[in-house]
Amino acid sequence: MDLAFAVFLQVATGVATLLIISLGLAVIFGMMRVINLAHGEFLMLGAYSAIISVRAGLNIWLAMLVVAPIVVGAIGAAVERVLIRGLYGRVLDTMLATWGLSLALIGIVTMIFGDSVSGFSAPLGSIAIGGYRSSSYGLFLIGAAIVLLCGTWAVLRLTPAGLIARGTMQNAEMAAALGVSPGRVYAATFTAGAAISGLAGALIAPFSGVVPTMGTLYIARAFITVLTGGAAMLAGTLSASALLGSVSTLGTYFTTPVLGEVIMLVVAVLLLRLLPQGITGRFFRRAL
Amino acid sequence: MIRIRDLSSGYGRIEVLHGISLEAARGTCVGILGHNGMGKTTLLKTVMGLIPATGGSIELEGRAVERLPAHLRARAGLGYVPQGRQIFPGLTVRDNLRFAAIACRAPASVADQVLDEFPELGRLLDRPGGTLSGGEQQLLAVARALCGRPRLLLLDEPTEGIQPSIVAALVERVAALRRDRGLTVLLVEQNLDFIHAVADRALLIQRGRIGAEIAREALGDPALVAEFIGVA
Repeated sequence: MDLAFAVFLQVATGVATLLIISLGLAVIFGMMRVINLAHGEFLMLGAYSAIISVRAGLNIWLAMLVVAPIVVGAIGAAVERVLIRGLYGRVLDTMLATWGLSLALIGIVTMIFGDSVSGFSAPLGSIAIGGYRSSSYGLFLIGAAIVLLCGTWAVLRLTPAGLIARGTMQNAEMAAALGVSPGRVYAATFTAGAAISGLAGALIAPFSGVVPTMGTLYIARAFITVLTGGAAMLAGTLSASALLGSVSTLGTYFTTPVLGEVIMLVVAVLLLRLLPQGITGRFFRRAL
Repeated sequence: MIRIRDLSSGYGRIEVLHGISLEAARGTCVGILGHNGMGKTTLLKTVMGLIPATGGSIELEGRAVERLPAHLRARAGLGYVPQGRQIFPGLTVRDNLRFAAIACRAPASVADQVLDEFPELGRLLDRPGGTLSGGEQQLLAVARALCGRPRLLLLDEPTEGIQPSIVAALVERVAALRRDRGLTVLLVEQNLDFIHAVADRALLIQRGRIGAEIAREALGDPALVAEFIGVA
């Protein structure tokens, strides 16, 4: 029983992690069809923002939950303005531009901070479940994932700004004819996606380690999750994270971490073969 | 109310409008007739700012708007009901209306007032716009435009593919809006009966120019209109 619960907790943490690292990408891709290949570097910048703030003496929670999203959100706003704004609707060009940005960001951060791994420890201890010990930080991540998901849903569904964003994504020309500046909506959405990614990077930093190339570890998983999820951005990310996170954690538990990753990829490939439009192309179509 | 002078525009290097001039006084309804491909929709899109004007001027209540982006023209008092209606399919009827009110910074109560004028929409409020019939969508498109509190309404082929009962409702509604709100209407239409029922006069647009003006009395006579369309 204790073992089952400990494994369950492990799985839930895996799902939460996947959801956290994918959500920013899902917002930017789902709302604007911009494939942001610099997503991994947004995570990395979030992690660096947090670690630098902590070293400067800032409270660790402030550094992770406030500084990281603000810094990366600001960087995202600047990136949108100089790089993305002229390229909406040109999928290949945005991919090339954000890929270049990804390489540039890795280069710049390496130049400033070096390429050694640094880190800060999970700011919570561990909890005992019967004879097993589990990190309380895992529990915190599960809570954070729930808050992030519900928060994004609430903003889109319950606020005037969310209504404007949803309508503009459905028909930008009509939105303009009704009095909305599509450019401002795009900028705000991209900034929000970047801020979520920055927060995500700070949240994973305690167990991932902080290196300039850390983004490359996560971007593939984030992309697979978003693609598997399909068109409905939140329902898709949630269902894909739940499925792939469980598969990879259980695969890791019963075999090895490498094999766990392989099993997850195989499942994702099979799923996309069966459901080319992703999970929400078939189920929960009307969800957000 | 609106004064358009020598307006030209087009798509890329292909010019579609070659110097259109027209005026409409407050509370009047001007119909724009013409065959497909003559530039009717292009004219409304250029007035709305969805296609940039390459020359000429558009004055709305004495204010030059031809350089403003579409969203500022909407806030300056232009309401747009496009061809094909362009309802947000994933938003409910209520949210389609709220969207327009928020976009033009109108108070939320505007949507309720508009709903009083469009009682047909009352029972559809929680349905996604994409599930409505064509006629219901057309009423919603007009109601949505009104939520921005426009003073000039641009109507692009509102009767296209619509059942007769809704066409009748539209005739009555456009008349009421002109009477009660002093709304000015620019109406692009191929349906002569509809133009005759709501417009004070009609302009014939041919190959991107105004070919002729048809007085209201003449609109009722199909033979006369056919002659106009034939000659001009």
